[in-house]
Amino acid sequence: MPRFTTWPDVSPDDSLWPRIVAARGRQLTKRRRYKFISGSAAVAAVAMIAIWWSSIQVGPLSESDPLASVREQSQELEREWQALADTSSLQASGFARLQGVDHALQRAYDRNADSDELAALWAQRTLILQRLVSRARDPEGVATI
Amino acid sequence: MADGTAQRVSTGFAQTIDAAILARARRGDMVAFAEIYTVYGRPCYTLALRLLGSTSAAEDVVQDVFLKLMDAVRGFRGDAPFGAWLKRMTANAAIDQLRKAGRGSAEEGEAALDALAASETAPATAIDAWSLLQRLPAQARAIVVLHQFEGYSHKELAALFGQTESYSKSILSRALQRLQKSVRDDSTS
Repeated sequence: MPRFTTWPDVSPDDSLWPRIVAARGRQLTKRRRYKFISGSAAVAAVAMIAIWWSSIQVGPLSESDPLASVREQSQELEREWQALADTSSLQASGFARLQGVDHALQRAYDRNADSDELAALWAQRTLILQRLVSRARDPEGVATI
Repeated sequence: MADGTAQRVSTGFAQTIDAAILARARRGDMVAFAEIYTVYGRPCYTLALRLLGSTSAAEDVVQDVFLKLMDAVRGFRGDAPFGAWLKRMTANAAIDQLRKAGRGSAEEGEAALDALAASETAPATAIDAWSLLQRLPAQARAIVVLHQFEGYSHKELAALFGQTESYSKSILSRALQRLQKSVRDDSTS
């Protein structure tokens, strides 16, 4: 076999290193461009998510505010009435009307009624509860339900 | 040496590089990379040329290796000598290029040696290692170069080529037989 190990190193063309430097320059430019584009895309995506998020947070809340308000008022009155009333008051005619409104509300929610209809029912419930609370506070009063 | 003392001069990938140059290279200093190229450009190119047999393919490999080096040097921890690390990168890049060119499969290696054995080889007018190796198929030449010149074991070759050790041994044995036959043919002609 020939003695391969006597082979000397071979020099590449003198233009190779300048070509490598130029290729490195192109590589870095490409990376910076990619970073800029992906960075811009990320910023745009975050901005779009923020806009979407604020729209779903602000939009429906502002629309449902009146309904939420009347519902909260009604629930507050119900708690107050339950605290004041004794068991016998559950038999009162006001309680039957309250149950009637509750059933109507349940049916309205079941068929996805619009917020105006729901608000009207919650308002009716609130009114009944206000009278029930008044009667519980002053059982001898003349408040009628 | 002129004063008569023996001094071992490192060549090729066995050369060492100053730690300060490596530190600058890790910071992306292009002058430091130019100094690394001055030391290792020739051995890189020589190994790639021996493996691929083409100057343009060898230059492509050196370019790829140095571009990779410019990113990878930050992760070089000095567990192995820098030259050995670079040599492995060069061998891997050259083998990748052989694979891309469709000359790295097991079937191709065996089939190319079969075809070579069946054909008549024109006698060379001059016997030299380069012209002998050029007569081998690409993968067989790469295995001979890495095993005989660069000291790769069959285990390492198997990992490099994604084949078994017995495959590497078989290709090497057949390639060396082929080279010996070429030398005999050339001597008698």
